[in-house]
Amino acid sequence: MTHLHIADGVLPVPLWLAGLLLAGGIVALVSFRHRNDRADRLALLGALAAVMLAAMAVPLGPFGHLGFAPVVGILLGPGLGFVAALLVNAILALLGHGGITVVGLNACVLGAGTAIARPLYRAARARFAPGRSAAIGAVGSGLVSVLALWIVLTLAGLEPATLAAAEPGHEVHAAVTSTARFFALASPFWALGLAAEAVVSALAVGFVSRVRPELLP
Amino acid sequence: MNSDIALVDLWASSGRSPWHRASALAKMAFLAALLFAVITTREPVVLGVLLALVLACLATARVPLGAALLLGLYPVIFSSLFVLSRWDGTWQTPALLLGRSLAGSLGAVLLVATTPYPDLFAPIARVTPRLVGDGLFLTYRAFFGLLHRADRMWVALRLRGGLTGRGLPRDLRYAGEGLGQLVLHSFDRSQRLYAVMQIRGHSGRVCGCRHWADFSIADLLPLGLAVVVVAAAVLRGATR
Repeated sequence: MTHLHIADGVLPVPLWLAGLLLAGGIVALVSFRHRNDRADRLALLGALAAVMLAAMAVPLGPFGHLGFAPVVGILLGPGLGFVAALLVNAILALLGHGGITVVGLNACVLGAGTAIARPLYRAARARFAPGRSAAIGAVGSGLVSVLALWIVLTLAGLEPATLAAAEPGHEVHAAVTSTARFFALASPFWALGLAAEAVVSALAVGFVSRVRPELLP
Repeated sequence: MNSDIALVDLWASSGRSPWHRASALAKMAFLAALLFAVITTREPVVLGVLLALVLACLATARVPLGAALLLGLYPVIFSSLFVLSRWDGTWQTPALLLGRSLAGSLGAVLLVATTPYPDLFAPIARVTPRLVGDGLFLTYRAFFGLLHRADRMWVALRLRGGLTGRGLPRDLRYAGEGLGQLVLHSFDRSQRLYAVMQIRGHSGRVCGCRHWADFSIADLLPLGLAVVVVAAAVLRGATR
């Protein structure tokens, strides 16, 4: 819910190329770190990325759906969680639900939230039960994704065509203003999404902790 | 969304059009050419021509146009918020941004609706790390294993009074616990899959290769169109 299905041709070329390079670099690092993993980690990655896809079938109003990224991040950890976000975005892009050229950027936005979920969950576990810790992780994860999206869209507003249209001396202000306008339009949907994601994450993780606690970090 | 993926998979595996006979590589080349043209054009009229071309391709591939358009419109709905925030008062800017979204996503739908997933992911697996290449294959495969279970679970929840749409807090409670069940099912399924991979002599790579590079006369259609689209985009850019 807190990520955006940015489509092809909407963002400037250098920006989505940078997104592809950044996502590729992160995946290369994660691949290197997990090079000696047993194949069951790969099977688990595929299975949980598939759960993320299935969870996205739960609609949250006209502009959103459940994401389930925080729970996947908690279960897989930051590195594999980021890869799961990339896989989901790649499959969604192939289905026309988002751009192919912006898979890297979409993955960075969703993956940033997925990657932060487990550290936040672990920190919260020192004081709270698994369900409440997962809710805290989900809210933090959503906010990190929104922050990543803010950065992407502000950088998009700094493209030459936009800057040329702005008054001299006010280019950066114009970029920030148009991004702020976007966030004002989208924030009600994000607030709803954050709350929904927190409740669902708390319940799903609470359920897992009651039935199979050994699966949680 | 779940039914979208199942529908696209059905189109890809049951179609018999020239697009279905063409190799995955040739269709990927056409999609790359289309995206190049979509991204570089700044004229709504040219985008209209590209959209008409993709729709004609979908029609010749015998993909149901209504369903394909619904799939393609999904990112347009999401992009509309972004377009609203960038609106400069002209009709050209929203037309350009929304047209690009629609043309790009319909091009992707054409590729997946005419290419079975092992052929689609095999060339990607050749150029990406194992986590991505094999991960795509396993995610798609696991998704279909999960699809029927998830659908049955949502139906059961509705029949028992959950997910009625009458109260969001209650619906979310049932959705959360239902998804928790799916997570556990996925864990068990991944362990079974791992056991099967070991029994079948898994050697570190899931091979999804079949006919992705089997070139035939049918490849002339996507490759020819790719050349025409790129040439037209370059010439149009040069004459402006």
